[in-house]
Amino acid sequence: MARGCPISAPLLLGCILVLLQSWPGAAQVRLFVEGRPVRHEQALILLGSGLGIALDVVVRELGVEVEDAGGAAMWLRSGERSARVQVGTRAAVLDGRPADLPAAPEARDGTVYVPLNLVADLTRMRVNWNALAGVLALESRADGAPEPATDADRSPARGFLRPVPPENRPTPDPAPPAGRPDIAEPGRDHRPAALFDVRLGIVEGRIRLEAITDRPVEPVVMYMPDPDRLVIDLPATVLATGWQVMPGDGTVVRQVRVSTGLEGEVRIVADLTGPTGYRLLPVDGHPGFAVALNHQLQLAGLEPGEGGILHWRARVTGGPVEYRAFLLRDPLRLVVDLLDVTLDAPSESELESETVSKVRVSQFQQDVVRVVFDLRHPVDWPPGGVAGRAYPRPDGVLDFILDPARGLVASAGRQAGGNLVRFVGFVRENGSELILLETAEPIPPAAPEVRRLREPDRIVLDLPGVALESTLGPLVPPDSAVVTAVRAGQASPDVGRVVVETNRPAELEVVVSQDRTRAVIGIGPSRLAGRTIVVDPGHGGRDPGAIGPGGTQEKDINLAIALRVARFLEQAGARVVVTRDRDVYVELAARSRMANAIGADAFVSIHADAVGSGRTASGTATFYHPGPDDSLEASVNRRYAESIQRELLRAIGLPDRGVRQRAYHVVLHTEMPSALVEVAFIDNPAEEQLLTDPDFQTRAARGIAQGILRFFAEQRPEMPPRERAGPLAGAGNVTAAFLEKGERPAGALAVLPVPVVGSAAAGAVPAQEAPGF
Amino acid sequence: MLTKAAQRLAVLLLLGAIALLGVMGERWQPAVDSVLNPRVAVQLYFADSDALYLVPEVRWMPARDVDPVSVLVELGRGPASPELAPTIPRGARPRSVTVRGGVAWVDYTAELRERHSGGSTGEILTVYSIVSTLVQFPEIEAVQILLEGQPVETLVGHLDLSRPLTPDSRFLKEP
Repeated sequence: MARGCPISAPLLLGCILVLLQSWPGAAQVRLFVEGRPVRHEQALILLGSGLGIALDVVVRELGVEVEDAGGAAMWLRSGERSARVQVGTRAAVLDGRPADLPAAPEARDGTVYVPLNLVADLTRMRVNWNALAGVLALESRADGAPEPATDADRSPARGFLRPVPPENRPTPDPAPPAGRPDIAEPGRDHRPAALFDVRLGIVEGRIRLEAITDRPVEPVVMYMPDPDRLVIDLPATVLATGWQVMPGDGTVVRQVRVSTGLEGEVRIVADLTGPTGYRLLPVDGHPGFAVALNHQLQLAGLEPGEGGILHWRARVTGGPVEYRAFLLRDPLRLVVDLLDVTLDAPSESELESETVSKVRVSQFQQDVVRVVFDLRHPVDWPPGGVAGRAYPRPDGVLDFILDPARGLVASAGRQAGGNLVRFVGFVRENGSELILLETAEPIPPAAPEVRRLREPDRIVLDLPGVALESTLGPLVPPDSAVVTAVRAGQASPDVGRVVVETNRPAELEVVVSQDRTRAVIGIGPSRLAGRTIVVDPGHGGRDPGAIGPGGTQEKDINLAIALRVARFLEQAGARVVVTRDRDVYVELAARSRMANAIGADAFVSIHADAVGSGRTASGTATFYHPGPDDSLEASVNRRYAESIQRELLRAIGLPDRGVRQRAYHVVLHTEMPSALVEVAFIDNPAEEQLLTDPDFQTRAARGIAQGILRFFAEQRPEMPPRERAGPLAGAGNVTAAFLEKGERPAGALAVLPVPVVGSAAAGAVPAQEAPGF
Repeated sequence: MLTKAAQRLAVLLLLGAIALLGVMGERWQPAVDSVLNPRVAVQLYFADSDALYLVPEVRWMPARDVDPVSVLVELGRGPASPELAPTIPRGARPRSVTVRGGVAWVDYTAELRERHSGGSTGEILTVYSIVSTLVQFPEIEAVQILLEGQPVETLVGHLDLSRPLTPDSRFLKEP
């Protein structure tokens, strides 16, 4: 079964190469010398078209002596045999004769690798390859058949080394500058980048494709028609995704495909529903990149109305759409530019309207669709024009109304009726900066939905089902430490939005009153500013994890809790990367590689436990693995795991199964404080029920995030205790009176409506300067 | 010349002796067998009731049958004690065990993964019950698990099975 078989060299090499190529990485092959496993980070690598072995392994395990020969050259000696090799060249001297190595020795990651065949030849060892076990074994040929070392035995047919005919002999490289050859100096890094995943999301109304890689890549992005698709080539990149095809959002992206090209590039293809412009963007938190896709726009009709009113309608794939409108003269025309939009086909229409004689629509720039209304009569228009956001109606149609009496009115982002915002205010209590919010009706359980955005630092609170009568703010609170402005408006017809701008990365904490009509949001300097945290939802895709008696799949629970943990950590000011954001298979090695490549400051893997064999257990456990330099008691990883376990137990109150050391893959191979959390037992019917409860998931996530927060806060004793305790630490009587009785504090500053300029459109902001042309 | 009565007595005695020998023989047979084919105590590791530890259960096996595969087959049968729980999913069979340089390459059928209930606790119990049971063989120091002849990254998503595992006393509890 698992027996090694001595086979001929070319066959062996071919066999190994096929295996190495069909496997994810050479790390899968283990080296055994005389039956003992060799402990080495990377004993074997692919070298040229063969295998290379690390020089330190050759010295330590095979007793070969290595002697500096000046420059990047060295002598290898084993018994009476010797070889002189040089990094970067195939020319060598074997037993005093020039020879041609199968591949040039190479310095990589601080280690020199020499061809395995040369070493086996020098040491007269036999190479055995156990393909099933992925084991390469070196064994001495001491079995009574000493290998003759005549020239005939190194003929091309048998030997590993080809004697070089004199005329083909490579000229020795000119001697490098004098000085010690720096073998430890790693050569230029030729390792390709790895593409871990592509994510689809919506950021500020637009579809965004985000590629996660382990190092910066130089994407080449092309839009291609027939069929419409976006092709992104990543040169010198390998595919590390657990999928080849991913479904799209359905409106703009039909699907995303990944594949490996012929020249070692990875190709990402996003199949689109129509022509779509894009913009390449850097991302925060990992070395990958993002591509923001434009809204697609199709004309939906022109409708002249009474009193010179004209409706111009278009169908868009998302929203809101930013626009600028301004007047140009000679001939007199109104120009409306729609930003981040791609038009399917240009058009021109003559009109019988009293106000407008002609309407032209074209793709003015890659991301700008321009609508030009030729006007019959001068209109009153604010100098510099107006700018704003137009919201598609629920049927996806943008409606611009050209009204001689009112100017340009864009479809308003407000639902008729709904839950109205009554009050948005700012107050300071005991040094804590607090935002007060009051609505007419209760806000939904998940509200407010919080997102943090950068450049400038701001916190966005979305309130589904909530409307504002008018756009509010900005309020600039005097002498505030963190909050620089508060404003509010309609994000979409059925989502109200409060935006808090801060002068540094901030975090927030929210308390909502019992009847859910009032909320206090504490804003403070972030305790996790500048930290990157990788959150790993266990299992996924074809690996469901454990399955509960009620049929609950562990992978779904893990994802639900992990996404909540990610949200809480983001609220606390951290950059967060999840190893998967959907139901997709991700290898264990890819999870830890992702965290290591990103340079994460902490890693947490979320799981639900099971025992099997008809038994079950109950409770919560957190697992860690001590780092290489850690003593067990002083282990940073242990303190990290303890902090998570403590806060998680406090949040969900299940039995404590302790903080334990386990060599689980993701905690073993991650190079930062890392822990694997088993929240509860999914094969325990009572705990399965809990795990499926969204409230429980939120509580568990809050506990895990709190544990991570505490761990980092405790590492910063210079931080004032109140700040370490969180943004709501100063909230006291004033806050309580507002939450419990609805008493607006005397010192609270209300965020007031903005006077509307030049437009009756809700969501319009004061005019911006028109583009200069 | 014996009387008829004496003849009868002799026959009866003979029959009695034969019967006695038979009964004795039945009693002696195991003892004879134990000399010809001794039994040895093998410790099989099963899960305790809290699923926190592995607890050994002693099984007497004929010495000539004690090899890594048959011990794993026995492990797969589960514990005799109702206090303990099995660790090997039903239907999972060891295909082969090859020992080389202190490492046992244990090749299981795919059921070890496919019928596994999942969970890191379940995975620890399964994997380390195999490891702890096998390291009783003096020639085995570490265990590498294969599935259907193939090396695997993990069994059910937590433990790193790409390298040989050595026994870990933290999972063991003496009864």
